[in-house]
Amino acid sequence: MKIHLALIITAVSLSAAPYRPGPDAHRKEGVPRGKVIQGEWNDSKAFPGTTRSYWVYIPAQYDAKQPANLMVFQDGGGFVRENGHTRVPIVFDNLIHRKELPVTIGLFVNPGSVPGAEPGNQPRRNRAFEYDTVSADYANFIIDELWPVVAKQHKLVIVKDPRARAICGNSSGGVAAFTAAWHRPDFFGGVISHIGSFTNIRGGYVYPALIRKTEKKNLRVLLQEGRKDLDNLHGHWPLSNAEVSAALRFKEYEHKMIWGDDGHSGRHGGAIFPESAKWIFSAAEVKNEIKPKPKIPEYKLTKYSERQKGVPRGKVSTHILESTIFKSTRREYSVYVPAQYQADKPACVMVFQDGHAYLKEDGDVRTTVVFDNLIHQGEMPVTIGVFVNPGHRGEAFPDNRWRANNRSFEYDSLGDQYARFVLEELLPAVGEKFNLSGKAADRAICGASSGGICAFTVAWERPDAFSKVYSMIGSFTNIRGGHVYPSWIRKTAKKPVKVFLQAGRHDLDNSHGHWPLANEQMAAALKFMGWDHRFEYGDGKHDLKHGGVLMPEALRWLWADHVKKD
Amino acid sequence: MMKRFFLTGLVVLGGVLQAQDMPLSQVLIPGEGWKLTSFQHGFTDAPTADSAGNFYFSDMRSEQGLYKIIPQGKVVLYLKGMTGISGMKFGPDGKIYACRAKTRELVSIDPESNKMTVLAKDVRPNDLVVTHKGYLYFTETPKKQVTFYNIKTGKMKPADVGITAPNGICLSPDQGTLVVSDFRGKHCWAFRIEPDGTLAHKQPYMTMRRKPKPSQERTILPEFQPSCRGDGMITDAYGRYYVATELGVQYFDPTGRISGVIPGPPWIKGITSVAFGGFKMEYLYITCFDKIYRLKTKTRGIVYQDGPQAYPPKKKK
Repeated sequence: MKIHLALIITAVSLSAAPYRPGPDAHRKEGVPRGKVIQGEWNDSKAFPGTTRSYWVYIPAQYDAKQPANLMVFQDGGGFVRENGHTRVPIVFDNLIHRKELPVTIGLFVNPGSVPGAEPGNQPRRNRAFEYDTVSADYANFIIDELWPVVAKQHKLVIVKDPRARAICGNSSGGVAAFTAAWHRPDFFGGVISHIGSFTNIRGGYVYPALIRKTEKKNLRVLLQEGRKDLDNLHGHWPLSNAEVSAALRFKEYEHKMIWGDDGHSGRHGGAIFPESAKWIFSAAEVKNEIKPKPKIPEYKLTKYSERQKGVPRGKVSTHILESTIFKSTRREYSVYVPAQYQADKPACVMVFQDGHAYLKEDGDVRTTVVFDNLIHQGEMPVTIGVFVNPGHRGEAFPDNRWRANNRSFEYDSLGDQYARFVLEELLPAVGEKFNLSGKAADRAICGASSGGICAFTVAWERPDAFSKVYSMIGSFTNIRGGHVYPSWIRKTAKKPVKVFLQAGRHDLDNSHGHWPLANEQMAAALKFMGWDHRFEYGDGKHDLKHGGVLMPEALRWLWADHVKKD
Repeated sequence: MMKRFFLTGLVVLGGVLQAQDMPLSQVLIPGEGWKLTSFQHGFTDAPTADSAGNFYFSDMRSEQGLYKIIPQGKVVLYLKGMTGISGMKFGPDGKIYACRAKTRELVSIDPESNKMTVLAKDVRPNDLVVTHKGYLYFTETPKKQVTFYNIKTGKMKPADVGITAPNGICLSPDQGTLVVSDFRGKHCWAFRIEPDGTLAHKQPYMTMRRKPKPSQERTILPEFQPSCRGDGMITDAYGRYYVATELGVQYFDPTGRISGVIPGPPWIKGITSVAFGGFKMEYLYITCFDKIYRLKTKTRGIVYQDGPQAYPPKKKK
């Protein structure tokens, strides 16, 4: 019993983070109170059949001749409560009285639900549909359906400038706030999102990608997030908020990211709400901080990547392949055959995208040297390496093979087309001369950058054909939609694929995405689903140096199932 | 104890309302995979189960009739001569109600006498459900229509028109919500069943995952196929909605959020439908053209003929 009590006390102290409603969330004498009026909205055109409650807060200082600011809240019932997490009417009363906040009307709206038609029937809960769907529907409902009626009924006039109108919410209500402003920046200019679900509940994971590739909108965005927030089937809340924040910074939005130590709770957002409300309506221009120049460590190859005496060398031959799956393209591919290869024994296979980069014996990776060494030492099986370049349309190949003109289409596209190319064209061509194993357990695939996501895509589409992946600085970003994988992984039955992920903290941050965070998302998703994986997160940038140094270790780990243990 | 207390603390203090999450870990058993249960068929479809957990299906290309798989996994011929059936369920009266797509008939079958009665002719039935009240809803895919048939009065009328290709159809465990999959669209549509059987408050409540649609041209976000061939549907005791698609069996939680995709075996041609069976209704069966597979799960299916059920079920202590 005593032990139980101790546990409970620990639990309370753990759960009771230091976030509490501050002085502005308490009633003070002499501060005039605004009115809070409840209404019901049971005849929605946007969401047929739904019923819901809403509340309007009208400040005591409101004068119909003077247009006021507006703030809309999702899960309104929680925000309007005077003993709740945020206590908006009290905060607004205090701040407006002290003239720290413009006269601001509050509209607090609950999510809808379709009640059961008969007793015992559950309602159809509409919260996720309304809040987590990436579309203008919810914004249109608030702006075109609900607000005009509320404004007319209570004779409310608001400032025309969207910057005087903000929208706020927690969790799915947070992503809903962003979605509303994103689709209707003509109406909303400010977003306050607490523990926002920028995850894959119903597609909200797209925002970092969308923000980076869409012309900047006239929005000011405050995100609050907790380091212990959710990591579940829908996504990883802290990483997803970090990605949204990075995208907003990349596009130079007026933006504040506030990190706390709480979990999926409204407490921190509530505690800081007075400051957040002032900031979202303040006239001051917001300047983003300048990033310091990163220190990149020197990555040195180990002896496993250097030629050793007495180690027999494999042979490399180079060929040209014309593809029908990728029409009118040609490419070079090289085949490395280890000295230990015997034609009567099916050899393991490893396919390298951007093969040219992996072959150079004085390069960053030196794969054939590593193969020679590890196969000689019995640390990996007898493996034929297939080093294939991306396809190119045209007579001559470009001097820089990274610039082959079909590369992005082949490597960055989602779907099974590249897997089909490998399995129906490339490996059969190699198989004409060499005895290749057809078992998934005997086949690995590797690549860097777009070649890295490409390697993962092949195994994702065809886990029956490839069971091992090494991705270096993989482009799990939105070059052509690759940012979807963490979301897909979390909601797909685990695949029998081993993944070695290498990434660098100083990798790219461009219009396609943020490579370090994208790889963190991948690692977190693989971990959530219990995939057999390793994540090597270094301090490198977008090059093959760290991944090259790790090649011997990656191969040992990937092929461990083929090596007899003493 | 500590964990529960911690979570309660968060919810109470935070005031954040969350629907219950239903990850794959609640459905899949580690190490369990699809097991081939029946093979050498023409085109399997119309999966359903009885209250004892026996599983039934039709082979639309066979002249034999309906088959039965007992919970142990053995396959036997069930009703001879009942051919061409694309969808069927047991009704509250013990009869089988079935769509005979080829002959364009809605029929009932008395399993005792093996007698078939035609209920409606010149219809285009694909799949159906029957509620405890005897309200039968069947999808008429080419007509873009869901049709209502009252098995007590024999009255028939269109219940919904407009879904691109209405195909699979299922009920919430309490039988208050009807859900229809769209074979040529991206949604499964939810309706409220009114006391008189009409369907109200249609909503594209669930969005299915679809295959990508790669193109040389780069778009801001990737393009996906317009549909994933959403086909047969079923519900479990927790209110999850399952739909057979070309990406595998996808399931949604009761609030319409996609929560899992379970691909079929990699070598199959496709999955046409899905249903639960087994002593504890723990097996998820899929009809895959010439084959039937089943997967042992942690969850439990329901059969609609047992009547409405509150969900999620109360935990046994």
